[in-house]
Amino acid sequence: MKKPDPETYLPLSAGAFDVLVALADGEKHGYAILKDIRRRTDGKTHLTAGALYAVIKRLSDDELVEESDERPDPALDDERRRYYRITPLGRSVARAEMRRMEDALTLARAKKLFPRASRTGD
Amino acid sequence: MALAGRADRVFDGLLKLLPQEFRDRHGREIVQVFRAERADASTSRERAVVWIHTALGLLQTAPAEHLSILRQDVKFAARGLARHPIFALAATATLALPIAAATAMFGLLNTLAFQPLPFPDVDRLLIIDEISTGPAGERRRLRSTPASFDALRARDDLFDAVAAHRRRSFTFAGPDGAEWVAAAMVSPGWSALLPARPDIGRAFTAAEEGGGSSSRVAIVSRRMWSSHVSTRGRTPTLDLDEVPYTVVGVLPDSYRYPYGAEIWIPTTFSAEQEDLLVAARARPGVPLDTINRELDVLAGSLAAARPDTRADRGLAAMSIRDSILAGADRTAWLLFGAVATLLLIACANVVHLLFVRVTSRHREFCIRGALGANRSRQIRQMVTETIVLFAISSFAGLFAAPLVARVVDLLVPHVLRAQLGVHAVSIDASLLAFVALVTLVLAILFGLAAAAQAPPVTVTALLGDDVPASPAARARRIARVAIVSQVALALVLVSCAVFLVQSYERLRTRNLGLDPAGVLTFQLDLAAPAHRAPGVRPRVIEDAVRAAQQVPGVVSVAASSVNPLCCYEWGEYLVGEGRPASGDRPRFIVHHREVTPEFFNVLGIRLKRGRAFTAADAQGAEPVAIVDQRVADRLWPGQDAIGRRVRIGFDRREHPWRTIVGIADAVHDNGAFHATWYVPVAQHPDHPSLARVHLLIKTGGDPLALAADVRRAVGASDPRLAPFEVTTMAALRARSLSPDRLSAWILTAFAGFGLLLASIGIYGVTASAIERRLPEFGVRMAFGAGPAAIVRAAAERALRLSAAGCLIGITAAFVVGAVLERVIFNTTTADPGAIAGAAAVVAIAALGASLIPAWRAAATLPRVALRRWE
Repeated sequence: MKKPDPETYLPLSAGAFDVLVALADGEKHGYAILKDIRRRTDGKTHLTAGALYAVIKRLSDDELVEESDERPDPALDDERRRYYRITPLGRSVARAEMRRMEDALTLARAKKLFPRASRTGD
Repeated sequence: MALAGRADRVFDGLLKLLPQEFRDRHGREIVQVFRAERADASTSRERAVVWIHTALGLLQTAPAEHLSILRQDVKFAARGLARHPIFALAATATLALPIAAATAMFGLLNTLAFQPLPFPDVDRLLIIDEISTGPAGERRRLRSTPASFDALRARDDLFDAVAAHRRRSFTFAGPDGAEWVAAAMVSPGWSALLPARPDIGRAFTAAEEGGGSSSRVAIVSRRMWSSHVSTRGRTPTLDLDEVPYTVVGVLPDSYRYPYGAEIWIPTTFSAEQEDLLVAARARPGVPLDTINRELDVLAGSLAAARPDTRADRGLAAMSIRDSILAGADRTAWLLFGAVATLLLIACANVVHLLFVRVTSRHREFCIRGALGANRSRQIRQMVTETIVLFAISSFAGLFAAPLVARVVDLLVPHVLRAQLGVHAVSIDASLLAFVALVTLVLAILFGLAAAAQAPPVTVTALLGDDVPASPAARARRIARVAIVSQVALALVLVSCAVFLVQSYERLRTRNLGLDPAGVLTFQLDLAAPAHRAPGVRPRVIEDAVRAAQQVPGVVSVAASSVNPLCCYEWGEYLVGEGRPASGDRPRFIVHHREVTPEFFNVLGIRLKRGRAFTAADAQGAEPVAIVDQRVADRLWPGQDAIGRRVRIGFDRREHPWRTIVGIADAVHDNGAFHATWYVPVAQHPDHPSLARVHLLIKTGGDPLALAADVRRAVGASDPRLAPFEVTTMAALRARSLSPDRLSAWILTAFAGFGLLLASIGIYGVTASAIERRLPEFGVRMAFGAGPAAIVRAAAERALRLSAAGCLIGITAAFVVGAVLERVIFNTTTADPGAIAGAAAVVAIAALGASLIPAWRAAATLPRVALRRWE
């Protein structure tokens, strides 16, 4: 089967990009993904549960993420949770999206729309 | 806690907004995330925020998800239809025409039944006519007299405005000869009642309308304004009969009410000026019934004051809408009902087509089911497919609709089209909304019906490689209902068509008492001052007749004050010499016609006894008259009327006694036979009815081929004459029949198409049932069953169902016929013979549609059938 070109998935929606980034460092269940996004964005991005799973559904239909096994949540051991992980295709799409953003940023700087790169203290 | 419990229930309810597929896949997880978030919240305020946030999120996500599924389904449906072009084409063709017809019919119905007429306060506008009651109690509406107009104007307890109109016309000299223009003389009160808003200028002032203003004023149409009004002076003026009128306003060209007028002139009517069209606006809250009761009392007191002329005169009000529509809205309802029936038959067919497709797609559904698609998802997919199919058909239908509309437009009454600029169908937002709504509702209903027929999804079905041996019982039931209802509906439709055709045929073949073939006719206006001088009109008429007579190809020519097939009538009171003045009614109204000698010859009116007029019946000779049989029977029942004397019985003027020299056949005019008498033009030169005369030209060949020559010859005889409304008697006859003929024709077309669709439906259902039973038939034949037995077995069910449909249809046809009889026709329509005929036609179609596939089955070799079974 021909490998799909990551470029065809671009641009990603903000939600899709956030979810892919959240899964980049390992598989997570839905709530963990939400918390990761919230923590990374200082609470500025707050996906609702419905919106989160609409994004996950689309990403798994496109085979950018996939389900791993269901297993109990260590915090709530009476409930089984479904875990998701990023697929190799998802990883290349996320990378392609980063490159696209980087290119946009470079262009914006060249046009003086955006200040020169300077590390802000974080 | 109770609050939290309720909040959870609301949350569960909100979850249900999500598409089921999405819910099945992620619903549990959404609840988990929601609970986890809530567990993390430390205060009740934070918990409330989590609840609201999640709930709002669901409200946003649900529509987006539904839309995304819809997009997928539409794409899938479109691909499916493209893969099965024959199915798509058959279904679209079946639906598109009924949808086009329904669109056009809705346009007509909308125009005639729902749209207000273009008058202010139209719901309160009335037309008030005088009613003359004949000896047999027959009522006839006549235009009003100034006496009743004055009496009506005094009733400001009933009406807040009353106005009268009287027909007039003017002739203008132009580069292409004289031009005739219709006009209306209008009474005080007109400006407050009827007219459209002027494009330019203003309406009449009260002083102008009441005759208080010294200058003569007029309002004209925009066409007149740009072609005839002079704007060179200080005020725009129009010369009418050599008198200058100041034009104060210009009305849009679409408004020509009444009479097709293009000039409106204020006037006050004198007592002799009869033939008034009286319009009134009822006071708010006064119902029509009350007004008509009061009018009865009023007519009674008018009759008491003038027993000589008003004894048999009543007064009656009807809404201006009823007066103008004259029943056309009821025809529109009938045709709309017919087209709705046609649409239902078409839908039943499409359900069957969908059913066949569902059965053939059973394997696909089972595979999709095994892959996780649930039944509701499949139903949704099928309904979407049906919607796509109906949408494509509606789209195709919208293209065909203007063509149907062009035909349907002819059913809009002439007054609406020619005088108020109203047409049947314009593709506007309301029409599109109607089509979209009907399509959507039908698609959902019939999509669900088709989906309900789908056999249950089982994994075992995947193991076999054929469609299930028999569809579910529910599916068979739906197919049965489809056949029975199609046959019943088609039968009702065919019966209605037969009723309408019969009614039209009765009208068409009715003996008119005259022969319209080969007669050219037009009108001449003799109202100009030059023609009004005493004794001028007979000479002008004689010259015109002689000039027309000279044209090669013309056989004979006559002139008459009235054309029996057209326009208007003139009434007079008649008394017979020696008839008891004390009798129940010494005088009665007859149609008054002034004619030249050739009149009876040109129109082929038979004289039963006596002679026609001759050139010798001139002024100064013995006054003569010809009456029809009704007058003779009325005055001298059972006796010979020839040689007896009659005269106009209007008491204020002395009219001479006239000797009856001939008795003519009754002539049918504008819808009924009425007592009529004829007087020679030469002997009654100053009768007001001669302000307009009809020339009647009998020709040897095509009358219209001579029209130009005759007009030119008549124009040359007097340059002030402008022949107008040039047509043939045959065309006038056809025009009076055309709405009836057209509606009969349209309904017949619908019925034919309905019958065809129903036959296709029966054929389809029988054929697919036989297809399923082929192995069984193969076995039967192998065991010795003959072709006849197979045909019987194959067609039996369809025939039984068709018979049931026929029975239901016959009952329904009687009911529908009885309703039509009351609302549309005046004659008996639910004629058992007509219904039996319709039933026979439908039964033959059903028989053919079920026997043909059965014969094909019988012709199939048992071996072939058995092979399919193996």
